[in-house]
Amino acid sequence: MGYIEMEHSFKRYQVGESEIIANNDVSFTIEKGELVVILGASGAGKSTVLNILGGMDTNSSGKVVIDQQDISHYDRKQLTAYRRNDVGFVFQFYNLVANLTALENVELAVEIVEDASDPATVLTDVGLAHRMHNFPAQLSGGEQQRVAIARAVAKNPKILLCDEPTGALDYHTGKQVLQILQDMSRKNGTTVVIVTHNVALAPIADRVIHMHDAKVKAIETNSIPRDIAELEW
Amino acid sequence: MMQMKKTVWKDIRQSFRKSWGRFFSIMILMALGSFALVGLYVTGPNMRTTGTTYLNARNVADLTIIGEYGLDASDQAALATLTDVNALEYLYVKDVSIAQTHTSVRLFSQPKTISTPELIAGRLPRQSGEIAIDASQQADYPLGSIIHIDEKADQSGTKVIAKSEFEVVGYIQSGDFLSLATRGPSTTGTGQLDSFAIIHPSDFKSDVFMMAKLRFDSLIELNPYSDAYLEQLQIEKDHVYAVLAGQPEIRLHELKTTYNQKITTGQQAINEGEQELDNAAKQLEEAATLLKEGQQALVANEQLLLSAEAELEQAKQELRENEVLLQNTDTELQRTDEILREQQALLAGKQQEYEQGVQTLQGKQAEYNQAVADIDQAQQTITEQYKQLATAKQDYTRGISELEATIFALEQALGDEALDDAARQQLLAQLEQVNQQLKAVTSAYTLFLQQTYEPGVIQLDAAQKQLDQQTQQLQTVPYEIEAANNQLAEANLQIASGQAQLLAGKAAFADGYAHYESGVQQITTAKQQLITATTEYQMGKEQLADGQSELIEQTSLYEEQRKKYEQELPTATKLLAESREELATAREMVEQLVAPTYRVDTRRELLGGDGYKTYSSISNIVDSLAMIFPVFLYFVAALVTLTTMTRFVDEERLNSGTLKALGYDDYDIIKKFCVYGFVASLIGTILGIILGHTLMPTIVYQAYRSEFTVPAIEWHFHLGITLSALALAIMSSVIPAYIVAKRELREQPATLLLPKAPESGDKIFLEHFPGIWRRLTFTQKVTCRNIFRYKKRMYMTIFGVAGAAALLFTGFSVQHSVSEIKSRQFDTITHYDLIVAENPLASMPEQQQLSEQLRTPAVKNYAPVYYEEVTRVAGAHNDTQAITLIVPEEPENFAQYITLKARKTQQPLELMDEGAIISERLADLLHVEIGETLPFVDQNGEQRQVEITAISEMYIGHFIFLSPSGYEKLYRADYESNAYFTTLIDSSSENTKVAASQFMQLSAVAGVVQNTSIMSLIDTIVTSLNQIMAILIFVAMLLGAVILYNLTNINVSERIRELSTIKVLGFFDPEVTRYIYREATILTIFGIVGGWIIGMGLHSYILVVVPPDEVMFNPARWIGAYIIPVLVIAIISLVLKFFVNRRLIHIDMLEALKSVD
Repeated sequence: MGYIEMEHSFKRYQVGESEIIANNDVSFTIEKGELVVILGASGAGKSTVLNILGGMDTNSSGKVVIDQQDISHYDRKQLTAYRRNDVGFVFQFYNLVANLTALENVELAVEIVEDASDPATVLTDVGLAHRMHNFPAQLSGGEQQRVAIARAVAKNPKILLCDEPTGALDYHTGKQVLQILQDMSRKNGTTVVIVTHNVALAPIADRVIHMHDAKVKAIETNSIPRDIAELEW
Repeated sequence: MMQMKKTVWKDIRQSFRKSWGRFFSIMILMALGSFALVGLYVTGPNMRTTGTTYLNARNVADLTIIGEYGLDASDQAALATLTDVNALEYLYVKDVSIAQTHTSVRLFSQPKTISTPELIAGRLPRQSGEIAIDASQQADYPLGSIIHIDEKADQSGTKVIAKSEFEVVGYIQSGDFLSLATRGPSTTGTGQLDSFAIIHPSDFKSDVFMMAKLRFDSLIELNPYSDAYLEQLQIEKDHVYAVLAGQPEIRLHELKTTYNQKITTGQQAINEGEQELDNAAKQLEEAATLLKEGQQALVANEQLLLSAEAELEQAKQELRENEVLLQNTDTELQRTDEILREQQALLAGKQQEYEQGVQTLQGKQAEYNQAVADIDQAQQTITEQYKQLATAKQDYTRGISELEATIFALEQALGDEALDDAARQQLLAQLEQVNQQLKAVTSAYTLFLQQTYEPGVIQLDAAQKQLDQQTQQLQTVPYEIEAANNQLAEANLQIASGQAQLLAGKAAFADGYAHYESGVQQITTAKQQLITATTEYQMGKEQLADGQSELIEQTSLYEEQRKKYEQELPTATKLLAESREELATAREMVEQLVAPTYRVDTRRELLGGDGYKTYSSISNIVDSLAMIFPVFLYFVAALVTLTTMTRFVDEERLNSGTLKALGYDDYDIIKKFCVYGFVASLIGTILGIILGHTLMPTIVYQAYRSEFTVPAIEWHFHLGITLSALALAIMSSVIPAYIVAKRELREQPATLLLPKAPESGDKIFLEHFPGIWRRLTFTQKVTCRNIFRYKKRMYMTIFGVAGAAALLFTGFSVQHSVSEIKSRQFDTITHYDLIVAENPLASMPEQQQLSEQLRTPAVKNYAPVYYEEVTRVAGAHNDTQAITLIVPEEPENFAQYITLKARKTQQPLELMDEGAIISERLADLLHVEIGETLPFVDQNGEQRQVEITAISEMYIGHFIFLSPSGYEKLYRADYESNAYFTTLIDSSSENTKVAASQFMQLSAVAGVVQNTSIMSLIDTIVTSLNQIMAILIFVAMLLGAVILYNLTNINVSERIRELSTIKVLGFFDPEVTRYIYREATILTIFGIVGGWIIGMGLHSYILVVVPPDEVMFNPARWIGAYIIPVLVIAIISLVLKFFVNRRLIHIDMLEALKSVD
C-alpha cells in the first residue's frame, strides 16, 4: 500500500447538456516522502487531481486514500479538517494575505493547527529570517513563494501540494523554490506533489505522473532524481 | 464600427445580468434617496398649494378686524380710507351655545365675498330663523331639525340674537376654521368654540358690526405661505393699524358721550321723577292749605250766617211784636166789629123777629084759610066716595042680572032641539063659560060687599064726624090773628131806634179799621223784607252746606291723593334710588371705560385660526425635515454607490483591459460603467420620484386629514426637485463611475490585463504601541490590520451604518420626543384641569356664586392666581407668541397645580421675590438664559421686562411665573388675583367640559381655559411626525440593509482570494465567516456609535426647527433610540450573514486562487 493511493478516480462535470470528464479513471500510488511531479498540458486534468488530493474538491467515483484514510467520502467539514491538518498548499500566485507580514502569513496557517512548527523557524529555514516582518508587497516573487511554502509546511502537513509553484517566477528564483521543495522532501520527509506543465521539472522528481486528456498516460520513477542545480530550462 | 458598438452594448447588458444584486442596490439606494428627497420636498409645498387653492376658493380674508365695541360708522369710515382693498365686508358675530348642551356655536351673518362658507349639503339660510351649521354637527342635527340656542346676555343685559330657534337648512365648512377640533376660545359653552354657523343677518339685532374681513389687492396674487405674502401682509396690517389708530379714542369719546347722554337723560328722568314727587307733595300741601282755608272760610261764613240768623230772628221778633200789636188792634177792631155786628145782628134779629112775626101771622092767616079750604075739600071727597060705593054696588047687581039673563038665553037656546050637534056643542061650551063667569062675578060681588063696600061706608061715616069737629075748632082763629098784629107794630118801632145806634158805631169802626189797615200794610212789608232776608240767609246756609260738602269731598279727595302719594312714595323712592344707583354704576362704568382695542388678525392669529397655523406648521415640519434627511440619505447613498461602482470597475478590470487591448477607445469602456450606473440610478430615482410625489404626500395627508377640513392633498409635479433628484442620481452614480473608470483606463492595457495588485499591507498606528499590540491575539491583530487596510470600505461602512443608524436614532428619538409631550406635561408638570378667569365687573352675589361653584364636591381643590395673557414676537414666522403670565397667590402651594422644575435636574424651582421663572420653549425661542431679561408686552400694550431667575420644564404653551411680590415690583401695582386654578375629582375630558360649562354659565366667570385645548393640535402634529418618522425609519432600515448587503458583498468579492486562501488553509466555514464579520462588526459598531452622535445632532436640530412655536418636544433621549438601531442593524447583519455564509461555502477556492482577475 502506498501512502497516497488514487484508484479509478473519475471526475465528471455537468455543463449544460454535455458531460465533461476531467479525470478519467485516474489511478496512481505515491509513497511517503516522495517528491512527485504531475506533468501535463493545460486541460489534462492534473489540477483536478491536485484538488481532489488536497481536499478542495471531491471526485465523482473512485477511491482517494491518504495515509490509509479514504477521503473520497468526506463531507465538507471532514475535508476542511483534512486540509487544515494534513495538507499544505503552494500556489502559482502565492496567495499571501497582503495585509499580513511574512511571519503573520505563516502564523495564519499555524493558528489553526495543533502540532505546528514555529513560524519564525520555518521562515528562517526558507532563508527569510531577515524578511520576516515584511509585507508581501515588499517581497520579491521568490520570497513571496518561499513565504507561501513556509506557510504550507509550518503546519507539518502529511502532503505538500504545489500548483505551478514556479509559474510566476523567473528562472533563478524558480530554482530556489524548487530547491526548497526538494529539500522538504529529502530532509524533512514531506511528501511533495508538484503539478506543472513544465516538463523540465520532471527530472528532479522521485516519481513523475504524466497526464493527458484526463487520463494518466504514464507513471515513471526516477531512482536517482537530479539536483535542482543541474536543472536547465 | 457598428459591430464594435454592438459588442459594447452586449457587454453592458451582460454586466447587468451578472450583477442583479449590485444593480438593485444602486437602484434601491437611489430610490430611497430620491423618495425621501422628493417626498419630503413636495409634501410641504403640496400641502400649501392645497391650502392655497382652498383659501382662494373660499377667498379667505387676509385680515380680520374685531372691534371690542364693535365696528360702527366711524370705524367703517376709517377703514374705507384704506387703499389697496380688494374686498371689505362687515359681519355680525355672536357666540351662543346650543341649549341643553355644552356645545358652543359662533354665529355669523353670511359673508358674501370674503371667507365664504363652503356648502357641504343643503343650502344657506335665506330667511330669518334658518341656520347653516358647520358640517361637524351633521350627525347631531339633521337637515330640517331645530336647533335651540342659548345666548348669554352681556354686561348691560342685551342680547344680540333675535331668535332662539333655528331650522337647520345646510352644512358648511369655512376657510377660517381649518381645524375640526381646535377652534379657539369662546365666550360660551365650555369656553372652547366647538362649532360655527351662519344665520340670516336679520336675526342679529345690533347697531354695530362685530367683525370686518379684508382682502388686499397686493396679496391676492401672492402665495399665502410665502415670505412675500407675510411681509406685504405686515405692511397692510400696519396700514390698518394706522387707519384705526385714532379710532379707540374716537370710539371711547363717542361711547362716553352716548353714555353720558344716556346718563344725563337718566339723570333728567330721575330729576323729573323727583320733581314730580316734589310737585305731588307740594300739590298735596297746597291742597291741604286750600282745604284749611276753605274750612276757615266756611267757619267764617257759618259765623256770618249765624249772626245773620240772629238778626233775622230779631227782625222776626220785632215783626212778631208789631204783629201782635196789630193783632191787638185787629182784635179790638174785631171786637168793635163784633159788637157792631152783634148790635146789627141784634137789630137784625129784632127785624127778623118782626118779620118772622109778620110772617107767622101771615102763615096763621094762610093756615086758617087753608084749613077752611081743606074742610071743604074733605067734605066734597066724602060725599064723592059715598056716591062711588053706591055706583059699584049697582054695577055688580047689574052685571049679575045680565049674566043670569044670558044664562037663561042660552038655556033657552039649548032647549031648541033643532040645533045640530055642532052648534049645541058650541052653545054648551058658551054656557059653561057664562056660568063660570057668573060664578066668578057672584063671588067677586060677595067679596066686594064684604071687603070694600061695608068697611068703606063705615070709614066714611067716621071721616064725616072728624070733619065736623075741625070746623068747630076753626072758629077761634081770626081773633088770635088780630092780637098778633098789634104786637108786631110795637116791635117795629124798637127796631128803628136800634138801627140808628148801629150806624154811629159803624162809622167809628171804619175809622179804626183804616188805621189797622195801614199797620197791616207795614207789617206785610216788614215781612216781605224778612222773607227776602231769610231767603238770603237760607241761600247762605245752603252755600255753606255746599261748601261743607265740597270741603268734605275735597278732603276725601285730598286724603285719597295723599294716601296714593304715600302708597306710591316708597316704590317711587325705591325706583328712584335704584335708578340713581344704576346711574352711579353707569357713571362708574363710563369712568372705567377704556378705549376699545381692535384686534387685527392675520389668518394665523385669528381666533379659531389654530387650524391654519397647525396646517402650515405641519407643512413646515415636512419642509424642515426635507432639509435634513434627504441630504443625509443622499450622502450615504452616494458614498455607497461610489464604493459599489468602484468595485464594479475593479471587477471589470480584466474585461476593460481586454477591450482596450482590442482597440476600443476609453469612451466605449467608460460608457459601460456610466450606462450601468445611469440605468440603475435612473430607474431607482424615477421610482423614488414617483413614490415621492405620491406616496409621501398621501401618507402625510392620512396622518393629518382627520384634523382639518382642507381637501385631500393635491399631487403636483415638481420639476425642480425632480431634476435635482436626477442630477443627484447622476452625481452619485454616473460621475463616480466615470471618474473611477477613467482613472483606471489611464493605465496601459497590458497592466490592465494583470490583476490589480492587492492593496499592500502596512503597519497600523496601533503597532507603535507594542504594549497593546502584543496583548492582542493573532486574529485580533489581523482584524485590526484589515480594518485599516481597506480605508474606502471602512469609511463607507462607518458612514453607511452611521447614516442608517442616525436615521433610525432620529426617527425613534423624535417619535419618543413627541409621544412623551402629553404624558410629561400632564403627568408631571400641569395638574390643574381648568383656569377659571373672574369677571372683574362681577357683583358680590355673583362672586358668591362662583365661590360656591368652586366649593362643590366635583372640585378637588382650587387656588387663586393672577392670570394675564402677555405677548412677545418670536419664532421663525415672527408670530405674536401668546404667553400666559401666572402669579399664584400662594406660591408655596402652587406645585399642586403646576410643578415648576428644571428639566435636566428635575429639581423643583422656587419663585423668588423678584424675577420670573419662564418656560423652556420660550427661553429657547428667544435665546435667553437665566440672569438675562425678558422683554414682553403686557395686556395693556405696555412694554415690560423681567429678569429670568429660572427656566422651567414645560412642553405646551409659553409661561411666565411670578411671585406676588415679584408681580408687585414688576407692575408697581398691588397684587390681586383674577382667576382660579382648579383641579377636578374627575379629570376626564368629558367631565372637564361639563365643569367648564358650569363655570362659564356664571356671570362672575369671564372665561375658562382648559388645558386640553391645545391637545388635538399637538395630537395632529404628533401623528404627522410619527408617520413621517415611521417612513424614515422604514427608509433607514432599507438603507441599512442595502448598505450592509453591499458592503458585505464587496467585502467578500474584493477579498475572495484571501477568503479562498484561508479556506484552503483549512478554516472551517464559521471561521471564515467570522474572519470577515469580525471587521464588519467592529466597523458597524463604529458606524452605530457614529450614528448615535449624528442622530443626536439631527434630533437636536429637529427639536429646534420642527416644533410649532408653542410646543416643546421632549429633548430627553430615549434609551430605546440607542438600542433599537443596534438591534435593527444586528438583525440585518444576521440575515446577511446567513446569505454570506452560503456564498462563502460555495466559493470556488481554486478558481479564485488561480484566476488572475
